[in-house]
Amino acid sequence: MTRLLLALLLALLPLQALAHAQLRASDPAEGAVLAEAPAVARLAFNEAVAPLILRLIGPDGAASDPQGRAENATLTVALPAGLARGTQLLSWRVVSDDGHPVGGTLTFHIGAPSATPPTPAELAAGAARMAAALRLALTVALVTAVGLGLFSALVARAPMPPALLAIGRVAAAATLPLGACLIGVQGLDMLSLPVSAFLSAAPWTAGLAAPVAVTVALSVLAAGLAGVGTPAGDGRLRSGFALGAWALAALSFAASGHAAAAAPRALTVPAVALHAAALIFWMGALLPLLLALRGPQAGLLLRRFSSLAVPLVGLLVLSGATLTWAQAGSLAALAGSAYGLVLGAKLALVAGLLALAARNRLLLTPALAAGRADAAPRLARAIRAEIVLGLLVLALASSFRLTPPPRALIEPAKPLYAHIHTARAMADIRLTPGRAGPVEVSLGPQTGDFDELVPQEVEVVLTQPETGIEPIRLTALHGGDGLWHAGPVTLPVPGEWEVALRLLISDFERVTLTGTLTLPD
Amino acid sequence: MKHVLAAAAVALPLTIGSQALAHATFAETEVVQGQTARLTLRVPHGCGDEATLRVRVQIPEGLIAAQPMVKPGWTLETVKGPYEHSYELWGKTLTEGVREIIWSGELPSEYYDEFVFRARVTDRLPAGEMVYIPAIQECANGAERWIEISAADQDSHDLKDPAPGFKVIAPGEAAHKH
Repeated sequence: MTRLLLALLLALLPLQALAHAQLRASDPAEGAVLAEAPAVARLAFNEAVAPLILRLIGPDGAASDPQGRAENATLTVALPAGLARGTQLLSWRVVSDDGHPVGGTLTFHIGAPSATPPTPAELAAGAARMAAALRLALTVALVTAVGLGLFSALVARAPMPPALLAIGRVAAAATLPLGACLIGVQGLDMLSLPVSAFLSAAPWTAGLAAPVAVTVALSVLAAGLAGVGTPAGDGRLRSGFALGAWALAALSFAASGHAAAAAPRALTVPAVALHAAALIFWMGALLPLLLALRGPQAGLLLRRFSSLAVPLVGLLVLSGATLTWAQAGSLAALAGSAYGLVLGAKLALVAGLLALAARNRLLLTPALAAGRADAAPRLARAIRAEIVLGLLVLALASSFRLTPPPRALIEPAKPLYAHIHTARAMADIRLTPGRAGPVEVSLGPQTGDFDELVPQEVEVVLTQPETGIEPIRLTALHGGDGLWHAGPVTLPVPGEWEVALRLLISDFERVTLTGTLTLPD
Repeated sequence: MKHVLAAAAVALPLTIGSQALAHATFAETEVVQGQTARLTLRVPHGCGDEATLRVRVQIPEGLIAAQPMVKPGWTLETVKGPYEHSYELWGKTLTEGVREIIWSGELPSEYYDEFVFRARVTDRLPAGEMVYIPAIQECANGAERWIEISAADQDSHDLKDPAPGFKVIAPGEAAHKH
């Protein structure tokens, strides 16, 4: 009896998927241009719904979470007063009786559609600044933890003094909370959420799906290796841990960020890793060198440090130059841009650092070796200055995230193409311009064998599930040029968008082509 | 524990079944291979708020000798065409038959109706697999198309307008259950 009932239950379970709510109409209507900002937006469904998530994204990219009230099949969303003129997006997610959430995005314009898309710099400036500060703190902790171990293994070739051991441990332990916070804050930044949403699930889901999560994981792993390995008694074991931590830490820098995302990635990713490896060695050695100056082995340690530091600094300059070229494209593009200003300041500080380092190497190290009494205090002052300059350089490097690199600014109008091919049908799809903001979609469908295909209807569905933006549905119209056109529609954020083309081929046959478009940031 | 499971097994389909109202579905969840099945298409609403004026179903390959049941107030029409394969039925060879059934009438959006036909389930339709029957509701200004069939690697939950369907079971399996 029980078995029969269970079989019945299993046979009936698929029915659960059948009762999704559908949006019937909205006020303002999709794509409406309104003279004045409406006080409320109404969404009419085919059945009773309850709101789950409502998010309003304004023309400047700022997001707010308006309140919604559901009555029968109508959801009324109270819009904040003083909505900015331009394109507003209302992303909604509701649940109907069956417990299945469904969502969509309503686009309407106040006055006129926005001409310029929100740039990443305008999106949630608060969270972006917090993320930059956390990135700096994580970098300092990581460089300290890994750099100290590296110095002990490669330069001192002896166990660390207790004071440094304690600093290294604190730094290694700090990477975990700093990294975790960075993931959440990065999520806030991605979703343009206010800082108050830090404890909700959405930013964490988005942050964990982003490349920054890989950076954090590698950083914590590297700091952990350094923290575990440095106290080891056996020299070879210590070196193994230190070199492993060095490699992971260098890779953590290459896993995310503007620089590692610039083309050609086969060049930029190794360049970022080498740049990071060199800076970890250099910056991480400064503190132990400062302490060593008081000891009897100062001359020996400085010589060993220099012999490694000179080739590494060469690598640092070379990889830095490569990355600047890849990011900027040309000197003309850099001049006057915010990115160029940050880069200029960073290069000036690096020049200062290099001058200090050269002075240490060429004048003060020989002076110390010759036993000159004033050499040690002068070296100590120089190293302290290097530490301060190094921190400033890292701070500037962390604030690159607040400025889009010129490569993003100089190619705004280049369309984005994708080709989706299945056995039944295929399509070439074009997004103009190929970046976040208002875009036009055009597509040319063909059969899987390159024959002519004229669908009865074409629907374009754009989604970005990980950032919580609900599907944007567009009906494409057949144009005189033989292509199908939809839009303009506002894609509010860069990154990977899933695109589904629903082609109605005959009365009874619909083919859905799905693919991914990556909107550059 | 057995009792709890049994109670859940009874209660769940009831609650789920009563919620499954928004898509066009078949009342039958299973049909038996080699037998004639009565099939009841349930239409829960119109296109938006518009009344449904025509209901069309496409008979897939493997379902033969389809016949709509007379429906008062509605005009019935069938579209005949060749089958891809030939079938033996009662000593005769069938190479063509009804491929589409069309009901014309009026079903206001706030009302519910059922559209009944029967068809022979041939062994071209493998036991244990789903059969989907694409259905269209046509209204004055537009249509609702329940025509999407999930690919092998796709979850039917992902479809926006899933075609209604049922499972084919082997004759032995049916005897075992009853």
